[in-house]
Amino acid sequence: MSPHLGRRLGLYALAAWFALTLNFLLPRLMPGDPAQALFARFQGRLEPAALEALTVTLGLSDAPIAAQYGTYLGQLARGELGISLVYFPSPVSEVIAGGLGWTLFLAGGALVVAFVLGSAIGAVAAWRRGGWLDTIAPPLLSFLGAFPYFWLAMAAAWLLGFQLGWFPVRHAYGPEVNPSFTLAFAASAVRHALLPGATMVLASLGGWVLTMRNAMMGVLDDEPIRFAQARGLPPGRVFFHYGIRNALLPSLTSFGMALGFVLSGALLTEIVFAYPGQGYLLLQAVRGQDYPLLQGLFLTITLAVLAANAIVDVVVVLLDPRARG
Amino acid sequence: MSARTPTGTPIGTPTGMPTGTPTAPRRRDLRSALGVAIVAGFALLALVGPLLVGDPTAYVGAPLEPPSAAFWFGTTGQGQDVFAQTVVGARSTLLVGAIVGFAVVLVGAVVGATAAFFGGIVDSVLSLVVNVSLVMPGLPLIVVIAAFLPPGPVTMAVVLALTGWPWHARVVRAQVASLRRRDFVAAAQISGESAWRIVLVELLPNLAALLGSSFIGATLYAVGAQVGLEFLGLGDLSAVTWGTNLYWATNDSALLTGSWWTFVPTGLGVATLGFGLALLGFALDERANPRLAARAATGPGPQPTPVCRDGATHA
Amino acid sequence: MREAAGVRALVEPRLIEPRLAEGLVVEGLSVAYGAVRAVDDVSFTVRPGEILGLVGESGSGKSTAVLGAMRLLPPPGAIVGGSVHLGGADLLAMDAAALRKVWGEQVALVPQGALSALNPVLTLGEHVAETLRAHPERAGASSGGLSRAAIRARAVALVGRVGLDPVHLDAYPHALSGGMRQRATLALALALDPPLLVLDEPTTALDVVVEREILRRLLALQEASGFAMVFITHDLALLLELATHIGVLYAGRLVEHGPVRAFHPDGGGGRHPYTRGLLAALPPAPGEDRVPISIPGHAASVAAPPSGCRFHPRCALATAPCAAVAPSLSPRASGSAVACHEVP
Repeated sequence: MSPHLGRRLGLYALAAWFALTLNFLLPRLMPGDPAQALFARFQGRLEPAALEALTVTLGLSDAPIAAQYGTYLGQLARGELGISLVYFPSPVSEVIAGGLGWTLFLAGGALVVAFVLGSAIGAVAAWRRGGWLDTIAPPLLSFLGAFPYFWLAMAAAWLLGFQLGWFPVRHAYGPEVNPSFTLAFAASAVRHALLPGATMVLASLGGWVLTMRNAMMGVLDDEPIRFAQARGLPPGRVFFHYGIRNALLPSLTSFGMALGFVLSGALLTEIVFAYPGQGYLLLQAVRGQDYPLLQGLFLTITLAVLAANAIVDVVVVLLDPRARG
Repeated sequence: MSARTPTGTPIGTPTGMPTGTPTAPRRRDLRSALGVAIVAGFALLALVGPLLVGDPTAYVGAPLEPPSAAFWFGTTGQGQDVFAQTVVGARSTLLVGAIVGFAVVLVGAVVGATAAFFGGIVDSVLSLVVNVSLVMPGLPLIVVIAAFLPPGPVTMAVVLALTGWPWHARVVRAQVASLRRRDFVAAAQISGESAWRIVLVELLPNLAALLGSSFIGATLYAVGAQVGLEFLGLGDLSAVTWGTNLYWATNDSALLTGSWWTFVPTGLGVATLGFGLALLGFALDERANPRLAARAATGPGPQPTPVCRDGATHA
Repeated sequence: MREAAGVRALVEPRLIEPRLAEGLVVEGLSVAYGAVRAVDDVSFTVRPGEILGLVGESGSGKSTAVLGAMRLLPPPGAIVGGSVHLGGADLLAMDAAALRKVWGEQVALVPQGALSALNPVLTLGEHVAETLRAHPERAGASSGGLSRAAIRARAVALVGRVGLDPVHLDAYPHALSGGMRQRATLALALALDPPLLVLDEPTTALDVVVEREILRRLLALQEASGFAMVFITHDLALLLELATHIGVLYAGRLVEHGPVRAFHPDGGGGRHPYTRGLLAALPPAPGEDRVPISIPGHAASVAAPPSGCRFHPRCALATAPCAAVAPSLSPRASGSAVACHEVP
């Protein structure tokens, strides 16, 4: 493993530890004693088991803080995130696991499509600098990118879903199918993912276009391109092996860093479409003041983004002989 | 703009502005003029607009009336005037956006400049903090912090400022580090000026364009993040802001009832403001980094030297 | 064209029979960046076996002139006047596709910044292979294209010519030293045996020992293959050893041009005051008793060139006509053509 990759992975480990610790400290650092107030609010409304879970989550234990931290880490290691209040009596881990697949499918798919499509547009725009694509795409996509993701989703759902009836606008699959490995279910799932996925792609496309365009313009001014031209290499070879291959490296690095932001937008989009992923759960957790679920989601999403970043870094190392060390 | 700014612009463009097609100066001027006009227009709207419209929370009409002469933008599910809500909502959203934008850049600049200027262990520690903060996904972090604090604009501003600064710290650090290597800073150091004097007198003026574009980017981030959080229900739901407008529109089943007027005006407001800020920031960016103002069109890929004998003196 | 006539007078009547024997003929070339004429009315000829050294300060237009003539100067640089013929073919009339056949086959470039000219994600062997594949006819491909084995064999022979171990064919550029990368770049330029090689400050980034070694290798290769060279540099001392002809550029204009002997201290030491100034500024050779004297003033800018002779504000010999009328190149007794009103 190269020292560079080692440093990056170390950074993610540190960030993961920071997230875990923040998650532990937040309820214990709440100003005044709102934890007690919160607890009191739920008393009588919840069963003793849920109250017990809440006690642990909010740190209302009398044990010394270090011991609590130990207990907390132990629970995490066993995948115990407490009991959800909204989905009582399901454990938080179970609730989250139920939505994780949908988010990976929808947001992950939209992310990859947007990155590939946006990078392709950006690369061509830079290659044909000043051409029609380069003139139209960046300002148009920037304008679309200025809309909140969820607002684009609302507009699309209203226009294409409710008004025109072209797409289903709620949930991840139709009532006529059950989750199973059947073609009918897969078709329904894809149909339900199209509209929210398309709005996510549309909202994030501009960013990828600009990133790739800038990276590509830098690369196109570089010495290797000039030397390739001077050797009479065909344009296709120069575009793919000199342009894209080299511009992809900074672009992929940006991909890792922007992952968290784009995911944030995707989560809000899920809410508009009542898509049963992490974003929808986040909404339920906020509205139901379901602190255990909220914290579980925070940890899951953060760790997922860190893991995705680590994967991107590994891909960069595979693509860049210099990073292999 | 940072990886988690609201227009979804991943890093790469330092302030994530629409790098449109860098072209002739005239079109650039046109673009920044448009940006200034849009942002100034919204600032004016936020300033005086609320004085000209009625109480946005008053129940003035029937629920979900479509746009009409009486209610230009229709009414909400509660029978409130959407036009008044849109105008009044701009004030709080812009105010929080600008304050957070300023705070974010201030913290980022102080941390970044400190790291770059002192270098060594200070730089290592601060850079580590910045890098860790940068790889954390924004929304879940903001939500979980905001959920544990009492709702309201102050919480909102604090949470957004807390999570927004690292990108700017990184940008400023890079810039100061490069300025520091230049001769005039070395000269100031040799002549015995104090570190803070050098930062304030020698470095800050050179950073002005960068800080300006950072402020624009940070405001953009703050507006978008704030609207998103309030949409989630993490704001003060009794206040009238662009975010709560959208929250209530969804809550009142705007989509099911087909009452598009309850969410379209606010969304267009957010987007137009965002676009205006983006144009403005892009103009500042090109000033700070002339390399972005690329050359004119030539054709696909590297081109051979053009031959144009028109107007040449050669016979 | 006035100056072109002067240059023509220096050399024997043009050979017409073998196409490539015509070499590179540049006449009255002007290159502009927008309104700025970076190169103004420059003419020179390079024939097989010759080494033309172009010398001048930064901004004198020496790279711009040659890269422009090759059509390798990136826009917004543009050719605004003159003609360029390589082996009889009109380079200025060619489109991009035709130029791609010329580039690499008829003329090859060792670019400035050659150390960073290689693609970081390709091995040296892949660089060689793509160059050969881009020119299948020239590379001698049979109807089925170039076989892997044939390319490998060519690549091994090629790196051998520049003194590189074939094991480096599998290395990525970052793993090679500066000298190795310079050789690799040279090998790629020579891959298709071009009759003309353009070297744009090829050794400036290298230390003296490596520079000497590469130049020796270059001369040996030229002896074996007979290609012509255009060598762009600011190092006049180097050209005195290496070149057969020297052209001196000042602020976008050729001020002196002729065979190398006209520039040697014992052969006249150049006629133009600028050339003499450059020679006087050279560090003395070992055993030579002389203190280097630099030319007073700053190099003229092509963006706002002085009137008349562009060198006149810095020239000790300048008289009134120098500020008014630009001198054209005319042959002198020394054997070189000089653009100066004052020197004989």
